Amino acid sequence: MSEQTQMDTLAYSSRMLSWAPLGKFLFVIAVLIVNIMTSSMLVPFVTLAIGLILMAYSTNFKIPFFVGLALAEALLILAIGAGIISITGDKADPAIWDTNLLWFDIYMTADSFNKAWLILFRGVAGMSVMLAFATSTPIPHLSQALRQIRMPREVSELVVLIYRYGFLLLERMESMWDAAHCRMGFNGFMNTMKTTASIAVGIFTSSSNMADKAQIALDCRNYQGFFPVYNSPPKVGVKWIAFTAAVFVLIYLFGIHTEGWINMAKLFFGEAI
Amino acid sequence: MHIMEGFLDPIWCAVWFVLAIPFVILGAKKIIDLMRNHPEHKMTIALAGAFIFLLSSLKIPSVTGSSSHPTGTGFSVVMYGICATSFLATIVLIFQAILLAHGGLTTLGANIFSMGIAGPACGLLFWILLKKATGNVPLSMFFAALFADLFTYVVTAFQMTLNHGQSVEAFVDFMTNYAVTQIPLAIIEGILFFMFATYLIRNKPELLDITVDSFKPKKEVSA
Repeated sequence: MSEQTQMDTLAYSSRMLSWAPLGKFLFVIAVLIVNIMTSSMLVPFVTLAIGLILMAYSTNFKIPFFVGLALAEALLILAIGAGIISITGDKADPAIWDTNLLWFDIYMTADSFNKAWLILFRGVAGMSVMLAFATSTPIPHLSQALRQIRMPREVSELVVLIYRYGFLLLERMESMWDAAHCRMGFNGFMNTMKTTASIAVGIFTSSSNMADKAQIALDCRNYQGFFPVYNSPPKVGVKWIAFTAAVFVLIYLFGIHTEGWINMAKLFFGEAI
Repeated sequence: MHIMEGFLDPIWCAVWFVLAIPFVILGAKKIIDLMRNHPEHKMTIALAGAFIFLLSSLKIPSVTGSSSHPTGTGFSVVMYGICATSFLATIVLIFQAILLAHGGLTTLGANIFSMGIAGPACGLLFWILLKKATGNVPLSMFFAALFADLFTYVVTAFQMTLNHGQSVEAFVDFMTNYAVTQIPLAIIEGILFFMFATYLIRNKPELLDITVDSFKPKKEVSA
């Protein structure tokens, strides 16, 4: 099954499919914003809990393999980034760790250490909420929902086309990548550069031909410039807005009252900090 | 270069959103007009967007809280201009954030500004200057893609510095760390677009007739 089909199948089988796509999107945005509004370490855990509960309800934590890989990669990037933030502390503050390694001037302070953890928690929590949305909302539903906020038809059409083409190109690239790998195309730096460029040109040329054929095929089917969806997704109502606002305010107040409750530097380095 | 979810403070998220929104709105208007007036280019526009999606998904972790990857915006900025590219980049960045956890929604404004506006603007400048000076399309495309890519990372490093450090040393640190992975990637992207341009000249020269510096709306022919 292709990656796009896996994603679509998962989203169409979600228990949250019948929820208003724009309502879900509004909720996700609100949770992500409140996630970064306070410096409480506990708020990201609340956000993470929301994301995990939604994912459990939506799809029983089923995620396609390629999304799992992307998440693992994203976690790696988050962890490395947080590590760098922890070692670029303000030199006006006392250092926990001060040394030089290669071109890095390592200067870790209690504040930079705490900030790094906070950012890591925020990132992981944000990912869970975004993934809950992605696995419960097919992109065609989202694009149709855009029409409800008077977005021009061309925009919703372009959203669907980019989504479809994006995954088509991704699949084509993977097969070319495997073929090049079998032919020792990545043997050495120069070969790798040549192969990467050739693959990208190959994808571009074949997809350009594919675009021409798709246009002809659509014209043959009396394409009028939009893709009809006969089961329109539910509209966002006042209940969604009120619920989202209530969650936002509650988490914000919780964050304000729990600021400073957890000090990761003290947990790791003891009371001396 | 996508800055991950949670990496920016609310104030900087808001600042970058405010700076990016006018470009995205103008870009949406331009794309809508283009799709209405030139329906035959609809698939090419979608393809340009999908191509940004594809190339910018090839990410390598970078030690700066984001990642290194080709941006793929060189092609669309040369074809459709900065605003249209910012709009396409917005759609792509939203997909990548929610589907692949690459980037984020609160950092969307910052990512649009670096990958959809600043980088392409720099690429376009080089495209126009070199095309006028040399008339060589593949060479101009090479430098447009190369500098679009590199400048995107300069802006990302600047964005990260403003949020975490606010000092010249922090900017140098971020830039140095990006350079390790990004300079080779930018060269690959330049070569890639050089090969594209060569292919287009040989096989689809009509596509290059509508590049942003030569695009003129079709006049309606009265019956």
